[in-house]
Amino acid sequence: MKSLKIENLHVEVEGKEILKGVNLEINEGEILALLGPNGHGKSTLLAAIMGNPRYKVTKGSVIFDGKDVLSMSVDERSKAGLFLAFQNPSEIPGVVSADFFKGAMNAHRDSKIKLFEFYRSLEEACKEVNLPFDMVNRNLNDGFSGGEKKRNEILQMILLNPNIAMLDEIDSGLDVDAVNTVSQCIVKQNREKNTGFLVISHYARLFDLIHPSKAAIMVNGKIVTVGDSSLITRIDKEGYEWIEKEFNVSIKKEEDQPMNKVSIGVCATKEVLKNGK
Amino acid sequence: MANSITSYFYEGEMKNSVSLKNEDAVSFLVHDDSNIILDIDSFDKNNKVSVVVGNNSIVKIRLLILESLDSFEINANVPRGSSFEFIIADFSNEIGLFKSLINLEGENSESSIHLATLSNKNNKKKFNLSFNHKVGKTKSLIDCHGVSKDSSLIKIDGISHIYENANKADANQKVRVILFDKESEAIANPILKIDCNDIKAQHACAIGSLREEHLYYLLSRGIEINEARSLITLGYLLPIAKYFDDKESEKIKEIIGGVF
Repeated sequence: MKSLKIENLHVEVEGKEILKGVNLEINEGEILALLGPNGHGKSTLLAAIMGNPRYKVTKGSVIFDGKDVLSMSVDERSKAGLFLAFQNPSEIPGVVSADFFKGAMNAHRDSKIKLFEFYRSLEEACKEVNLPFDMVNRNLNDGFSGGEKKRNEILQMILLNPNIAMLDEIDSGLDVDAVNTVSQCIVKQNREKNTGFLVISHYARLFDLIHPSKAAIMVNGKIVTVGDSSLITRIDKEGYEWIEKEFNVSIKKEEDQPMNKVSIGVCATKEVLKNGK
Repeated sequence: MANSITSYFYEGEMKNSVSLKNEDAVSFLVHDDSNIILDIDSFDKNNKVSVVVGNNSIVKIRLLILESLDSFEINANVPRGSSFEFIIADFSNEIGLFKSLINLEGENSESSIHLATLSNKNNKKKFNLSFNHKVGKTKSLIDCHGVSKDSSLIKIDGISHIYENANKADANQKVRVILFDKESEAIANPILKIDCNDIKAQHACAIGSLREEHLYYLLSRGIEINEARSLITLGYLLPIAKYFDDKESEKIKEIIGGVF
């Protein structure tokens, strides 16, 4: 059984330390819910595991199946069996979704996928996530609605069949039916392919549908506790205040973000010709 | 010795290929009410082309440039009710100066230039793409996509000039260049000269490095860096292929894929 072990992980972004010694373990076949207040490092953890170049690991280790993940390039991490469903998937104009899917699937195989097999897999995955098949001819996430983007992330997960899938707020922006569809895909992938899941969400509804086997709570850049799914129920009812009392931590409030400087100007040219008109 | 001019006459509906090899200057004369597609795929070092479009005609000229050019100069006059579309897919090593001047001379005439250019190694490419809106109710579009790799340079200048009394003219300029490497360079000057108040005009220019989050997204799915770069470049430049026939379109894909 493959497992992802995170030990004493410290991560900073633009010189600011976000993760301050994270310890967590997730095995194939498990579903681990990662909860915590906004801005406490949950997404940072997933991004750092996947190798987002914005995030700098300053200390600690991430080991997957006995291999040092931090020494791998981003594409190697994916090929090793890790998958990240992005909270805000990039829109990439000009890159046709089908070309991208084929490139990604080929990257995970020794020999190139046959055209028939590719289209059959794609058609089945589209049905599962309830996306129209002609979507594959559109540019990647370009002009997709929020819900389409999230379902597209799940579609890619199905196509790539990872050992561990990390889902960053996959349910945000989804309507009730879409949450049901995505949940069914997660449960199916977990049961039939034994994929392990590390799932961030703020809503108990998703967790009610996917039945996590474990839950972890992240506060101030650290995992303060790991337990069973009763943690999710308690947080849904009581919020995070009890964490402060029971674990003797002071939950830092989200810092106000400074506003970007905005300039509004006029862009136009009117030139008088040489003859003076 | 005076330069000789070779003239080609077109009428009706037709598609033709023309070589500019060993030609001092070439003139395309299109009759009224015609619909013509011209493909130019072989060039001289220095090229001079003039296009005279008849009334109510549609003319499309497509250039697939694979060889270095010292200069290319094209002038076109577009009269009432006609349209002139100029498509340039440039995958050559070097272009000294590519210059086009299109005169919109009759009401309800329109013209567009679509350019996709890929520059790598230490190649230098210079384009000067201009329109004159001499009368009203005319429409122009400059739409350029460039990719500059290694220590290459892409320079795109263009002036869309709307003359006095050219009411309801509509000029649009869009230039986008991706810089792939630290040494890559691009300069763009889309300029509007406006001498009439009752018009529509817009110009936009974006030069920037490859967006890191796009690359990261592709890499996160296991795609290797060179393939990811190739996919993004293909996506950026490939829209030009839709203006070409299948054979040329495949060739364009092959060229872009082979650069990385």
